[in-house]
Amino acid sequence: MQRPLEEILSELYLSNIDMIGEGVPSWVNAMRSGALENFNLLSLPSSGNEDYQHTDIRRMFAGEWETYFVPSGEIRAEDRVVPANGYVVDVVNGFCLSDELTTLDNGIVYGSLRAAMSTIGDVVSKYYNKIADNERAAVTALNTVFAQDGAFVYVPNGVKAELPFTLTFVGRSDEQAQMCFSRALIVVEDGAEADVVIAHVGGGDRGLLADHVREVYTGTDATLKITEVKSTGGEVFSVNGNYLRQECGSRVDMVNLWLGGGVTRVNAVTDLAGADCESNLHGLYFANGTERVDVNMTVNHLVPDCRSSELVKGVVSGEAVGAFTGKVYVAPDAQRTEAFQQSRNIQLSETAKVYTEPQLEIYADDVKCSHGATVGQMDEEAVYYMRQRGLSEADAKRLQLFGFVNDVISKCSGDAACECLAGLAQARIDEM
Amino acid sequence: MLLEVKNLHCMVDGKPILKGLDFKVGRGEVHAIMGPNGSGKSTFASVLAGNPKYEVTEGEVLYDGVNLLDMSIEDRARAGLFLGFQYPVEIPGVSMANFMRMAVNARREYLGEEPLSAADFLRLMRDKGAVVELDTKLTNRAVNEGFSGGEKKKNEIFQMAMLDPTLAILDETDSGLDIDALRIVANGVTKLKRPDNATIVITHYQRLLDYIVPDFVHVLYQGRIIHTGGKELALVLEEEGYDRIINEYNK
Repeated sequence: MQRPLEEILSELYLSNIDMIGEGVPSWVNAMRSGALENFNLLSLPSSGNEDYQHTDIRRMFAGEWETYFVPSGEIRAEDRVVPANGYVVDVVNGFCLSDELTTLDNGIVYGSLRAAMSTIGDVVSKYYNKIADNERAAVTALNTVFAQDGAFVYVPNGVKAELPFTLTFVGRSDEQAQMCFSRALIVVEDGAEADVVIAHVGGGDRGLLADHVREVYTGTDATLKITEVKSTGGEVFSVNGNYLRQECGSRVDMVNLWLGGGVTRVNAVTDLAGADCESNLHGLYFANGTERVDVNMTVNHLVPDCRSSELVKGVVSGEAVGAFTGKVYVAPDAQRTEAFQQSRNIQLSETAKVYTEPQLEIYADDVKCSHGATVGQMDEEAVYYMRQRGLSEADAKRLQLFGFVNDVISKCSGDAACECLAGLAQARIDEM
Repeated sequence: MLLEVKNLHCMVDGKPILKGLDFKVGRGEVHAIMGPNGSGKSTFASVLAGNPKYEVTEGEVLYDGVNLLDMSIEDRARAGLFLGFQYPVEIPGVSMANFMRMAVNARREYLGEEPLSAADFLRLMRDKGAVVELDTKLTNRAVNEGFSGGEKKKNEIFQMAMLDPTLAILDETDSGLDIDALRIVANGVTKLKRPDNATIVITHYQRLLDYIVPDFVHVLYQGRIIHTGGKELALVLEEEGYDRIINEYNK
């Protein structure tokens, strides 16, 4: 009989426990055993689990994966799908390429997460693993068990980062199908401002399973723009736990672009924990061939007077599957909440599938909440109109698709990044 | 002849709409097509533009001596056939400037001309925008998105000016326009008139023809042109309706 996956993964940890914990302070390693316990209690969700019906997580993890607990690989020119502007951190297969941490005169710190844990443990320990949800998401708990390194960004109180941060996560498997765990911790303290661009790139012919957890904290009146793109080649399974906690009066503008590559499962949880927060969350995915993108977004309005707005667009073709589950939770006291959610999808082939499911859970009575979900085809009238002006049918369709996605792309942070991402999206449209 | 339509028949969803339509347009001419609701006016315009919803079952259309019905929608447009839509389509997220640049350059390529430089294109946008008093803000917006009815129609004439067509077909461009917008649209069309191009105006009302003076007025009824006259025919129709002409035809 086959051994349960949980047992196999637990054993993987226990038999490599020394290697995994090496160079990491004990307070971090102490979290691993608790997370392992959570992981075993939760167990990896089966596709019978309503929240995971569109992605078979168990099958993903059941593959023949090799895991190395030491740094390997390098960054290549093609990994720069977004230009390495400003403050750059490069992470390959879970390890930061440089062990060093950069500290600027104004107090900004960025670089290796592992280095930060060791050198400024007092700061990191305030946030690390405090935002991620190890209690409910097994894949996040598993990440906490295994993660050894990643990217760290720290913008202290009142500091405005002059340049954008560019974090690149490369996952690559050249010889063996590989499983890797990586982590990002981004802290923008009270009144601070930052602009962060994150790229998940790489791929490889041998297959890759990348379990990534991103924790983001914005302090009182902090402002953060964050743009995250996944653009990988080959068979890549990505499991992302994106956690965001916002304090009073903070504002976050986030754009996520899932431009393709294998199977992507995203659990994005935003906690609006202080009054008068604003959270604008935009997403765009493309899926064709046999690709799958499964986005599960939760926005928790925990306190009164916060505003959230979600817009997630998808384009599916071939036999691809796109899924969006958007949950908005409004706590009993969270009066005067404004929460808007929209899911818009275009289905280019009859064999492609789109699932979209808004879920509102509202326990306060003075709120403005709305949601909308559409799944449609190309507007043939618009194609005819454009052809009547001389555009070829292909150009008309391309232009229309670009028009469909442009309102998400145009919200990307940083002009250089935006321009480059618009180009990537355009290239994706040409393939659809 | 710029356009020769012979015995044109067409169907929509299995229902015959045009039933042997004959029609000719020479260069430098302005033709008005009038007729009661459901007579096939818009269908005729759509068939000329190549709308795939309409199936031509019989007849011939020669455009500048070439079989128009064999041409794709876009090649008809590139060859200078322009349709001003009765209901212009909104295309969210697609800027007017981007759309027009592609359209203008597609036509230029077809004519064997070099694409316009960015500066020349912007100059063209500004100059042609002035023809229809189109707010430059509108040309920065997405195609027809959030435009008022009048703005959409002005935008059609703006696009016509940009593309400099050989044969322009204006399908009820006057519907839904107030008198000022009507004047602007009509003046735009008049300004674009040249000895080597031609215009077909499809309209319900005579008032547009006060501004765009036609050389010929045709009455379309039950899928055929049943009567043709000069510009004064429009006034007669306004006065007495279509009944007399239809009755004569039915005899």
